[in-house]
Amino acid sequence: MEETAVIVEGLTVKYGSFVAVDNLSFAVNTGEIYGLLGPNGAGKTSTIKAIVGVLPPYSGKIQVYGKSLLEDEVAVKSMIGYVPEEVVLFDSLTPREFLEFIASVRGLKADIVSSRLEKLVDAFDIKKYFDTPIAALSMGNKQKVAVIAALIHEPKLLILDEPLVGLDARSSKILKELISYHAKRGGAVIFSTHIMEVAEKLCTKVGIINHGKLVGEGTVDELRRLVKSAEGSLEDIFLKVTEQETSLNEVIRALEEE
Amino acid sequence: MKFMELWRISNKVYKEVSFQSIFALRGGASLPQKDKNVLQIAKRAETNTLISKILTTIFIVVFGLSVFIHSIAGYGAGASREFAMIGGATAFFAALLFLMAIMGLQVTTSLISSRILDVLGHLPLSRNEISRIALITFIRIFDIPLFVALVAFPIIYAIQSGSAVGSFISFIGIAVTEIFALTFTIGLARFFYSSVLRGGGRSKASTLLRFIFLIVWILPTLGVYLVINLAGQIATLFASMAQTLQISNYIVIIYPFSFSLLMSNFAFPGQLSNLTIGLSAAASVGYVILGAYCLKHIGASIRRVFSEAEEKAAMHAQIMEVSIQPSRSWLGIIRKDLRIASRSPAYASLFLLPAIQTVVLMLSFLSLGDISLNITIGILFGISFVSLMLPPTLLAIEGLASSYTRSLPLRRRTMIVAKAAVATLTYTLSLLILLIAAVFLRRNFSLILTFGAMHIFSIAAASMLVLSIFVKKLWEEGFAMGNIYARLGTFICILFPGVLMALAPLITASIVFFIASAQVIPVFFTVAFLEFGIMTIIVLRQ
Ligand SMILES: Nc1ncnc2c1ncn2[C@@H]1O[C@H](COP(=O)(O)OP(=O)(O)O)[C@@H](O)[C@H]1O
Ligand SMILES: [Mg+2]
Repeated sequence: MEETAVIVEGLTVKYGSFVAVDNLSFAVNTGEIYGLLGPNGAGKTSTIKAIVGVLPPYSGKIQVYGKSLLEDEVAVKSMIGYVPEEVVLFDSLTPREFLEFIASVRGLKADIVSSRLEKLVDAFDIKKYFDTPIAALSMGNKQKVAVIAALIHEPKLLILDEPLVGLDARSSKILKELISYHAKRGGAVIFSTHIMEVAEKLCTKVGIINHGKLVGEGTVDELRRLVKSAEGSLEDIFLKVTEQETSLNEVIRALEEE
Repeated sequence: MKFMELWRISNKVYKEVSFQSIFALRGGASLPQKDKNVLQIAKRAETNTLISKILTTIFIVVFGLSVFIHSIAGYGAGASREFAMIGGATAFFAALLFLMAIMGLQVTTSLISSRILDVLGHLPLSRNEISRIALITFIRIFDIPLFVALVAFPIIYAIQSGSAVGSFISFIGIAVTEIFALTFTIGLARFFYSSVLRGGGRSKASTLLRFIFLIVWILPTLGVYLVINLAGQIATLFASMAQTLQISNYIVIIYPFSFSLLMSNFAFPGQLSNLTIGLSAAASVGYVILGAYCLKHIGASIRRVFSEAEEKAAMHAQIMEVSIQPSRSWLGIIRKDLRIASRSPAYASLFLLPAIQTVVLMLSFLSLGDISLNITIGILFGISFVSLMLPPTLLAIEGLASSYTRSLPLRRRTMIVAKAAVATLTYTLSLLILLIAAVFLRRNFSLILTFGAMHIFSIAAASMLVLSIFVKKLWEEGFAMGNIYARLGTFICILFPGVLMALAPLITASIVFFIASAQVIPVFFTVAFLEFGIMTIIVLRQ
């Protein structure tokens, strides 16, 4: 049974008069891993922030499992696990204290959460930092704490903003496994990335976004068919649809002439 | 590098710090989206900082000078004029130290969290230069208040005493005081930040250590606060001690008595022994040297807070288990807030004000006869005012990670209730301690008991009102309160309705007292309970 997890319709996000996301629409089904792929400044983070409800005003419709943030903020946020792009947690808390806070706010029971936590902490290998203030953790370890905090309540929808950027090889492999596992069990995943291989390997569906607009969408195969001249790799497709190809060649030539 | 160049760099650093203390972008605040462009917003941050500086200056001048003039004018109550001046000047120095330190803590926190010196660390600048830039920036954050205090007080003193030398000494005394306040602030910040990095964890020892840090912070604050509150009594006490026991010879060695004694000597020459004057002059010179030494090292200390905050905590204790104990969501918020507050000097300082207030009130019981209705109302006003500083402090903590926490399934009312509960509980605790003190000192405590208990409703209502406004801003505008010093204007505007609400039953009671004194209690209760009822309904609907 395929259920629609997320519907985004006509989403527009403005910063002052600057339009960061322009009338964006897409949908994600359960069991799907949806990759938002786009260059820096394309509007991926703005889109994600609007879905998870940390971005105050926007126009358009967003529904998560049939519910809108405007109608039932708490119900929507309860279904989501979110890993932000720039991880800003409470610096003076330890991971233990931070996760305790998260678990309290999410209303989780001690016995259930503890066994789940044990597995996650082992998987990401941060046990030895468990009582170290977050301020003293490296970027990657902070990110792991944020990932654990996003998984601790077994959310129906997992949203990750450039999750693999700060992680080491082991953790990034584990996270990829977790993402696939999550989707297989009937959860939905949205994640943003500017790294083609990740999108190519992991995603069941890719939305290419540029200047706040969706410029291409489909499975990797579908995209390949869409852009006939591209030679198979997602990178070429990506450059093609975001119209960066020609200017790119010029830039490279200019650099080589130095 | 030339001073002008350092000045120019500090200009950039200063602007960045003032911008970030208004828009705590690192804390995940988003810029207001109504504004046309970012330049305008940056301009507004500067205006905001300027307003804060002017407000601080007015506060220092009014507060400091009123203490000074008050105790000078109050001589005759057992103290001679020269001793009254010693007491007054001492109280002024102490007040300045206290105010500067409290504000310094706010600023240090945002200076550190802006991470701006990290950026400088990657530029081709020597450590020494970075230290100097840090120092210049830090001083610039306070420039107007520092400067005005430095000028206004010597002028008033000169007018009053007619002594140019004395006026110059007061100038030096203030400069030293300001340096001490900044040194104290930075030292404390280093203490806290290194303890945060080392500490944390669950062990009893580290909890105890943190508690000791808090006490370390309380004591000097308390001392200074006492001096301010009891300036009059201290002047009298000092006078009688000096006259009877000749103790003054030793007291003059202590800062800030050395300076105030010299000032008094130049205002009223020929009253003090040469030995006393000589000792205090020598001590003053010593403090000036100490001040110069501190000044030289403040910059380096600021830089070191940064590098220490960056160093990884070296030791990782063997961690046996990773279990956690989740609680109800509002309780989870409270636990988190208390943990964070106890680890940051800026929050801890505001948190401890009610405690300090209670102790001061307790001490003033010692000199009071019966605790009349008037005094009760005065006391309630004092504690409620200080307790109302808590809700914004607690909300500022929420701003630290608002880009993340806003994605959590939290109802506004949960947040409001949690924080209002802490503020109300603090108020209740202060009352309880007062009550115990009154009983212990065999004073009539029935008024504190009845009115205090009824006023709790009003404080709860006022906290909820203030929090509702702040939470609305946090939710709808992504407002993350930077430091309170930088946002003094906003802060006061939001606090104002809350203070009014806390005052309403007190004022009504005072008015009713003149019309129908028998009705005071029912009227007070009705007003307080109505406020509570209305605010509860409003909050629960959010
Ligand atoms: N708070 C903000 N204020 C103004 N402009 C912003 C803000 N956040 C993002 N932008 C702008 O919006 C555009 C999209 O940003 P973002 O959503 O972060 O893109 P991405 O995540 O794809 O790199 C960028 O041009 C960025 O400069
Ligand atoms: Mg992004």
